Amino acid sequence: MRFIARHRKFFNVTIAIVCILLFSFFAIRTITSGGHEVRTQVYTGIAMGTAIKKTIYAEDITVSDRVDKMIDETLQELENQISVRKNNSEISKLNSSYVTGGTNKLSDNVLQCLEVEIQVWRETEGAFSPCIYPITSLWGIEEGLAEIPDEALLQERILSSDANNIEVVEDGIILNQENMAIDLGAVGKGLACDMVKEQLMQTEIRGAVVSIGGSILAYGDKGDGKDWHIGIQDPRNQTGEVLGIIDVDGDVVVSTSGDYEKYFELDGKRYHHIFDPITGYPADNGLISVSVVSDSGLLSDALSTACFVLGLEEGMNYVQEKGVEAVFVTSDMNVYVTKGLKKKFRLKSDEYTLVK
Amino acid sequence: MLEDKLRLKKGDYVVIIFVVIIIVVLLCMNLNRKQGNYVHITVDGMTKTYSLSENEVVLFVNDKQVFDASHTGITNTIVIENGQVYMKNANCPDQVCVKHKSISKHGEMIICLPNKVFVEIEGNIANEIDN
Repeated sequence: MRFIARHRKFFNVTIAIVCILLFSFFAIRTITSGGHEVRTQVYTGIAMGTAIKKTIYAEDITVSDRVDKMIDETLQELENQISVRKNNSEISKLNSSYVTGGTNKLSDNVLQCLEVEIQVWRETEGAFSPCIYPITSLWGIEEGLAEIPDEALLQERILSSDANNIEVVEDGIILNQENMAIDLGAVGKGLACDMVKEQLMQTEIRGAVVSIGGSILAYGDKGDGKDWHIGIQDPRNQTGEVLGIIDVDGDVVVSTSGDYEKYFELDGKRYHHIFDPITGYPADNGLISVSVVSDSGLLSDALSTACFVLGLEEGMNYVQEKGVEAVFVTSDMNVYVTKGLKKKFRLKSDEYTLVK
Repeated sequence: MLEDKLRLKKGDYVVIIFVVIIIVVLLCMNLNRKQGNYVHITVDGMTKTYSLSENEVVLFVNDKQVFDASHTGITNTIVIENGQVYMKNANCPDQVCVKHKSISKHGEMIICLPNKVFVEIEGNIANEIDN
């Protein structure tokens, strides 16, 4: 006590400084979080045949809970509308009972989806097709089949998968060939991200990351104004291992297409679920994964699939033409990124080489 | 006279005690946060939570004692080991969950889609990745 007494002035100053520091610490924390603390809530579930993970940043957990339910309802509704696995969906009904040459009425969002898909089909000269279901269902890779289909049968299916036979009219589409089948699978998750984003904009949450299978929506921010860090799956490692991280600001969708999700191997060759509509075989252009970053989920999902089929060079040209950013991974373990991502992509796995 | 001036007064003690209390409270809050490493396992809509610090816990999801999900016909074996969690085996067709890496960081998860089994980490090891 004598010691403290002797240095009383020093102690008083120290105490004052500590108090000021503590006060400013709490004050800064309060101010940066906009007066309230932003809380994180994680929700998981299954919808649209895939795993859903929602991380919601809001000041009030009851708001997060409400937003979680709202998203679930939207996804359920969309699944009931576009799933090819549900007999009663709008798409299944179209596929099973369309009239060749006549107008088939469709909902606005389905039509909007098809328009984007047809545009991508045209621009890629057939590397992408909105009506590839005859080919995918023949192979049945997602259903667990593991054999190469009969060549004659495959040729028939290639003809039915030609988007040349689709005509979009004001309130629907005309299909000019028999045995056609529309499948929005290549854009469904991206479309879902867009719909979720629209909904989130009506809420008071600060930010959210919503993963719907291979499409990830980054919305708003964590309450700190900083970028989101979106991890890209390492295509040749265990699920959950990260190839690299893309730093993105709010309101973009990152979609990834890869040959690692659903596939079988035969005589040392990998047969995966992304088909080239022209050959009817799994795309084999030297790519093992493509991620596309865009404001539009619909576009990022469609372009990741299209570029996977196009290959590195044509894919790179195409994304640049479309003004979106992308990460390409080739089978010789090289990683290529578009100009806009040079500073925003960080390679995390040392098994790959980032080509500058 | 000088001694008197240097002697601590009542107010000084109050301030010192006050500051010490604040520091102790903050320390306790931080310590508490460090202990919270959990894994939430959800099967058939029912969630159970285990501590990650428990070693070598093997959970059989079809075991009535652990999860009464025997009526669903699913079998998953989840292992908690050295702060890591992984899916040892599962009777699902795609085996995606078994191929998933071990998880330990906050927000990481393993999902067995066909069996609807969710394994999620809630902890203090920060995850660099937001998705």
